[in-house]
Amino acid sequence: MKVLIVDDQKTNRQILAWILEGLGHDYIEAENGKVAVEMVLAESPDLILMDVIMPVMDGYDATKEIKSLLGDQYIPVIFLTGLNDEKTLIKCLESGGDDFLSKPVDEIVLQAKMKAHSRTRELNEQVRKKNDELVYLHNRLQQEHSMGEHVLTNAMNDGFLDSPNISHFISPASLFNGDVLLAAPKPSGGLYVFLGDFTGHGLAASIGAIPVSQAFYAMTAKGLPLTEIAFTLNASLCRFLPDHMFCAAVLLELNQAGDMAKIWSGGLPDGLVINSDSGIKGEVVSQHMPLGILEGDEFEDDFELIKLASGDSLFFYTDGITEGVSNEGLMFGEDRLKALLNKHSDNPLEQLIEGFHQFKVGTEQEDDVSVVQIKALPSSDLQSSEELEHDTLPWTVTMRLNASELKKHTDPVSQLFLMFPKNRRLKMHSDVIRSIVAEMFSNSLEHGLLGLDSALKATDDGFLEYYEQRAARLVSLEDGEISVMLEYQPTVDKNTLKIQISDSGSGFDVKKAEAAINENTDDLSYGRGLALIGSLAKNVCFSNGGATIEVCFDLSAV
Amino acid sequence: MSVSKKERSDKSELIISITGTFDFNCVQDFRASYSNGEKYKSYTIDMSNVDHIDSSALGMLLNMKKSVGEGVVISISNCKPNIKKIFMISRFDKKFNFS
Repeated sequence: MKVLIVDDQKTNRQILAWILEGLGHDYIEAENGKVAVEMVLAESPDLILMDVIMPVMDGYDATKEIKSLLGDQYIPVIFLTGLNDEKTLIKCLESGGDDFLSKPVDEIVLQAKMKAHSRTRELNEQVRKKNDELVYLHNRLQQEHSMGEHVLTNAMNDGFLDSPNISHFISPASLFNGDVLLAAPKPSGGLYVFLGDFTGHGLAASIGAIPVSQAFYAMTAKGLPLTEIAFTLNASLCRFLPDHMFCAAVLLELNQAGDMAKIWSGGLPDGLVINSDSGIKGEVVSQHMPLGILEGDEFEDDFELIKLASGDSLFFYTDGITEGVSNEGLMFGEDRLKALLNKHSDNPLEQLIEGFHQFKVGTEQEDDVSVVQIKALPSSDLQSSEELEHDTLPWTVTMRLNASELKKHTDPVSQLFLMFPKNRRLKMHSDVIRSIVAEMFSNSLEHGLLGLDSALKATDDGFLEYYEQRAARLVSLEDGEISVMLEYQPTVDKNTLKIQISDSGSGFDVKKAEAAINENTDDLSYGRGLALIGSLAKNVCFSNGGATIEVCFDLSAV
Repeated sequence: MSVSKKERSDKSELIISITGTFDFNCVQDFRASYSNGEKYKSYTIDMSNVDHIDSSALGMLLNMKKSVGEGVVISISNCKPNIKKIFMISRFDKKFNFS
């Protein structure tokens, strides 16, 4: 322990120094209050022994100054005084002293007091450290929250909520929203909307939004049917959420004409159909259990079909609005909501929210509030301009391989597809197109150039032999060429991709090959390639005596 | 491309796993995986790591069916959608179990 001795008498300091040395403590000395203040700042002692009457600055003033400089840091000050009257003692305490000792100093008493004060100081240090830790943790938590918010905001990707078909109001009760509102265009026209309310609110409730939004966007981009999306969302929530958590939700698909909505609803308050002239036309009653409860096959995927007229809107909301409580302890309730929506208005959503805010004046929001209005409008062309540009660009890709290149590249088709255009429509079909090209390429190489006979593959051993012959003939191949061409001419037909493969071989019996396309090959272990091409593509035709095969692929197929 | 296999501890089933593209490059490895003299009650082809297949894979599977005997169940499991589509076009569900 480092002790600061403050006394104007050198002898007194000497005596205390001896005692402290004997007790095994370090010490520093100051001959008046002013020096003591400076030393506290420079040396930060653990304890101060303070004389009262000194020149320049006395013990009272020095103590006051030291205590105010230290703030919440605690260094005990023990006054040493020859005066034992009450007045002096009170003054010592008032100036911020923690204890006193009478002069001459008794070694045993000093030791006891030092022990007691060092314990107090230790406790004080602990509290200070804990405080610092709390501040640090609080800052870190805030940092983590803002990171979580960033991830969630990006996962939500609310760009499409600005579509003219949709109006919405979202107001989370805390930083994180336990309500999820998602919207996405349908590739074939129309749109999807998902409104969900997870059990609880805040961070725990909002976590579920990530798997839901990712699955939603992935499936809507493929234009999958509503029931399949509902089924998958349910399955993924069953897997992700703990048992006590679930998600009340409505999933809606509006057709391109905007006059028909398919709706799967589970656990949310009843939705409303509203006409801008005549008010409330009907209700959309929840038919199912919320998502994330029923496992796999128990899940019910039947949906409701609602016909919409021009001027109609669908309204869905989470119970945060109907269960909002006013200053007088009243609940907002369904009746108030319906009354506000039933009034004739150009903007019923705004009217509802205004009414809700008036009702809630002077109260805190208890739960996340979300309301969405889907208008019965035909959806405009939903493809982004970038994609449209891609879709009107004509292009041709050609790959020509000679004998030595054919030997060198074992799987040129898959390499070709690494370069395949990445726009959405082509990407959607790239697996199938790749299968077609791979089959066509195998045919040209194995039959056209290498002259192998498929019938060899009829037996297990023959199968092996076929591919051994293939390898052997390829190695000794000297001349020959295969060219692959993919062609897209949107001005001629924007839904067709033309695939043509030619080889330099002598061709084959075209009639027989054409028959093979329609042949029943169920039981044959060979001759399946052409049949497969025939089922995946349209208009398979041979020319050039069989050395050229051309097919068309229908890009509009879903 | 690789072919690996493991059997259930009671030797009732052989599970063959294929990785990458299931095409003619697998011919020997695939055939070797089930024709080592042992007979199993059932076979499963795990397709979870297969990205693409071609018609030679269909042929290989049919040859396997013949080789292990028509009565023995072969299951093709964990197909990706694009691959499942090829199997379905070829009506493989008539002869194989899909799971």
